[in-house]
Amino acid sequence: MNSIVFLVVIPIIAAFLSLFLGKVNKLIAYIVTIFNLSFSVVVLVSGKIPFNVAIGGWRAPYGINFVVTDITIFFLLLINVAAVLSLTTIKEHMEYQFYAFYFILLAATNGMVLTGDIFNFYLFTELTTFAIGGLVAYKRDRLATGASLKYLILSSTASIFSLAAIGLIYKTLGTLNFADIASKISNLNKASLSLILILFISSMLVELKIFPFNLWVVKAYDASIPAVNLFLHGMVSTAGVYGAIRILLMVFSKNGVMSDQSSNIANILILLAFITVMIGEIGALTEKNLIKVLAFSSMAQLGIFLFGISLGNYEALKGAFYIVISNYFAKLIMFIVAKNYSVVAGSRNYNAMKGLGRKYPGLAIAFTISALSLMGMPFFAGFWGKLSIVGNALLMDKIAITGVIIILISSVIEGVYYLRISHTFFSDGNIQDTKLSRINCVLPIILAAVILIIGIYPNSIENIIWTMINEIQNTPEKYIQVILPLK
Amino acid sequence: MVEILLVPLITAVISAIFIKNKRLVWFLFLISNGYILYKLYSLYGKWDLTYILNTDYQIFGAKLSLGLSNNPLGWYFAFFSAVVTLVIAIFSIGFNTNSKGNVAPIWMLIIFANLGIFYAADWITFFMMWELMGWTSFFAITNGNTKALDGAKYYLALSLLGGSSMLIAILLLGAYTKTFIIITSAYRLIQLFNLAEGVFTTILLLFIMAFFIKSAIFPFYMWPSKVYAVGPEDYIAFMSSVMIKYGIYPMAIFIVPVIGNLQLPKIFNAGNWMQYFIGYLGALSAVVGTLLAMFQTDMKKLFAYSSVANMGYILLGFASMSIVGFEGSLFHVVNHIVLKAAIFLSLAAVVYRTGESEMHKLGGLVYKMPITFLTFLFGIIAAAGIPPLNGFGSKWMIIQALMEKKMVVLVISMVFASTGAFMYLFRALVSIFLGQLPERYKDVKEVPYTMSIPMIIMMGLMLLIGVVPGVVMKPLTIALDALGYKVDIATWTTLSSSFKNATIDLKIVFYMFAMGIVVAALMYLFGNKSETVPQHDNYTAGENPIEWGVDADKFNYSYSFYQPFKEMFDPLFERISIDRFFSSIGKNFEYISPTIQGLYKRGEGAVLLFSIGVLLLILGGWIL
Repeated sequence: MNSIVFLVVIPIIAAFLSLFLGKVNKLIAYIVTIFNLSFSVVVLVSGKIPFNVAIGGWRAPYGINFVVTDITIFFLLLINVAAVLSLTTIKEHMEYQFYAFYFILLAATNGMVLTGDIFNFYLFTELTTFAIGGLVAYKRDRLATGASLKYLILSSTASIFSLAAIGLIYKTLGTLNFADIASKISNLNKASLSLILILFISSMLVELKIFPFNLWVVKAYDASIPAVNLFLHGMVSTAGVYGAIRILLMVFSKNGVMSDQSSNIANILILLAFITVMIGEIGALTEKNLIKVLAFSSMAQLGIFLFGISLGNYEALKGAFYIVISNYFAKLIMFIVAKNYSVVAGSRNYNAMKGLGRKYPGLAIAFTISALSLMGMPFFAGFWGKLSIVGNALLMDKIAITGVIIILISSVIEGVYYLRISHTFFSDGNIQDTKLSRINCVLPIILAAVILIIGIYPNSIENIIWTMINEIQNTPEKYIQVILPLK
Repeated sequence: MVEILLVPLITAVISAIFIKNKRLVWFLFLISNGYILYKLYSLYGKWDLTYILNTDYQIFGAKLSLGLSNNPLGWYFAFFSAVVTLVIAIFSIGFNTNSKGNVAPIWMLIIFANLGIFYAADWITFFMMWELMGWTSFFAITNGNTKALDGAKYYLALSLLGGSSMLIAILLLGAYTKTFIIITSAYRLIQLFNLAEGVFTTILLLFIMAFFIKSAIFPFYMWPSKVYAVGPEDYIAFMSSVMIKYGIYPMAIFIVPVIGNLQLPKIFNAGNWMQYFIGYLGALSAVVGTLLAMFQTDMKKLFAYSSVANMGYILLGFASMSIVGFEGSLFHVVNHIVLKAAIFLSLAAVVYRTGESEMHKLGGLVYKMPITFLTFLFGIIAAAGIPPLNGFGSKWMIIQALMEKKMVVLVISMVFASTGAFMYLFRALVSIFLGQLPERYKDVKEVPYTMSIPMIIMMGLMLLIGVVPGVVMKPLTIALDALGYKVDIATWTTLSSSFKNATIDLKIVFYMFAMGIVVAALMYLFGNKSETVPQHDNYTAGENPIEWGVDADKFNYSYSFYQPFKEMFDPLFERISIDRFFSSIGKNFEYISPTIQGLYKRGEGAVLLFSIGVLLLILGGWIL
């Protein structure tokens, strides 16, 4: 299916066209995004997964290829659904630069997920960086410019390291193709593999919001408009998570477990992960600005995700997938609720939103359900993830057990501040005039219902996740041979 | 059997949708509780009922199944808590006519979790219901009231901590014993003691920490006083009587059999170190709870500490590891549910009419609210353990068991706590109901019928269980027999302990008291004519305080009631404060938080931290 490139090409064409179509831009944005989403759905139900498309006819590993497997289509759907939902929160007129950057972002995140070549991945990561840098700075006040600059500087540092890693890979292995690298990785000696991994991980952890690489997160979320918050969370974060899974677990590891040559890196990743969780939750404890609370919480959830994938156990990996899904839905809901409530209350301080839960209970209940899912409470989606990760980490070595204890204590802190916010929503307060139409409540309630359904009956999601873990477990058959078929 | 869980869930959802219509919601609440009680009554004896839900979710390599089972001890707890919940539900209809928020939907979810906890067949179901109960009770306590946040936050943090501790224990238990079913894992845990003693002790201590947090045992005993003072009063009656037992049930069904079957060396020929561990923690709870209750001025906080002390008695009964002590503890569970609910219902009635809960601001309500007074009087007589009401039987059995096992220090602490209880119980009675009626309350009336009838029912229950303890002991002994313990099925009116000739026939005790009341009544009727005196004469003994320059209100002694006693214990409580320890942990986290926020607010330093991160990766990944 060569037409898979439309997922990247059409948004780029729209990006150029948006410079000229001033007023029609919003409509074009909807059309292109819905096209992307429907195309992904058509690919999903067409039954041709997994397949490989060699761009320009150059066969892998000589040319770039786009490969669609189970993991790819899962993340593609997540990114495109988040794009559509984020567009619904744009109510006012945006200038053409916004839409230009948005189309580039859409193309780049889709490309990151589709590509099978490491340099192409680097290219799309750079495009994402610039697009989000521009989008964060959209408000053009001092905070937005500062936040965008900070993110750009950090990302540029990350890309230096990334480029160095790619150079090293090309020097030692002679190839730039994911599948080819995966099949040749055992030829590397320990020192080279460690160096390449350190360089690559340094750049990936910036996007994954892990301490100490995540100093850009809080400012970037606080400075941007709500739609850009959702872009950051739904599209960029998700593409970063995909990158971590594909590169860390399938290219540089043997069958999803970081090989013995790089198991020390796994220990350091576990350490950084639980430090991130602790810092994220403690930082959010006394924060009054609701968007900053959500930024800290995103940091911590990605820390738990990294903890899950670094343990080297397939059930913990399954738990990490549950955390990704739970965080994805929960934060979508929470950012939409935060946007609506801050519009009514006139401020982002959650104490100013006191009593809004009694007037608009749908939004507050959706927020509470998301918060409980992030805390890992049973009957919500995050519980199954927490159960797997904690259970399997307890059977591992000392650093994993320490990590589990710190993560559990951090989830107590998370419970305190999230339920305090919920309680503020449901308290008595004086409400000003109603400025919110009921239609805004529909989307969060639907997403909250999804979280509840996954929490109460995890069977279908469980099977989907095991399909993806099967792909990671059998990297040679399921991934490498799709791209480089044995002759 | 699964209807018993579906009905509260559906009622909760319907109540949440119609939350503005108070009458409908509380009426539904009442009907639901009635149905649950009826269904529980019909499940008596059918101990083999189970309901399994198979999921595809894999944990430790095996697919998870969630299950409910009608286990006898769980039925016992669920049935008697449902009886009391039904009476509280009748009370709530009247209590909530003018209330601001509506706690019924959340309360119904808690009742759903309640039944789930008692009916869980495996630890994962148990844990799911336990955590559900944790966060829903936070919302029930706060109920939209901003002033309730501090106490509720303390309770929430403790509750989540207990939940995390239990999660680690359950997962370790599942990994090492390869099963999550409660009864099977208990057997295999006993065998694990010989193989991996460290893991065994860790699992047991983590479980005990979680259960002690929920049942407010030392050192986690500070949260009831913070919470019971600020929550909605009818819900607090449920919380203080039923919910505090959630830690006792898994102790009875899991911890006590495990400890009882270990072969550990005995200390002083009395018990092994685990028995003493539980026993001393129980004794500390009993003594400290009693002492702290004496110093309180808020009536709800006083009875919160009384609950802590009663949980201590129950633990003392478990620590004896004898069948009489075990039965006595479980009997005390039901007794405490009944008497604490009665006391808190009468306190709720006082708050409903006067809006005040500080005892020194009340007084003299005995003639204005006679039924409330009688319920409260019965409650404190039962709490003090005086026959013919119900508190006597269970306390007697626990003390008998401890004496039989020669655990002398524990007996002394229990007797001290039990007798000292009378000090604070009587103080509450005097401060609220006796003494002088303040001017501002002279128009206070008795509570309406919908609220006084449940209180009369509670009085009847206390008398019934006190005179005919078989009402509770018969189901209890049949349940224990079904679980495999060697018990004799109890009779209707006698209680026996393990010593020879130690049997009490409570019928005879009741007849003696009834005889005493008849004699007193005859003396009243045929004695000299009585004269009605003003209210202040009942403590001024006929003198007129105006002659000394004080009026009746100021002369009423109810503030700083036990001042000398408090001064005696102040140095101890100043130096060692568990409350300060836990609060300081929370405050330390709140101090670190702005530092971290500042780190993220600064403009510079991002690339420096990036470099430090790369250095960490190099150090950890390459050099090590």
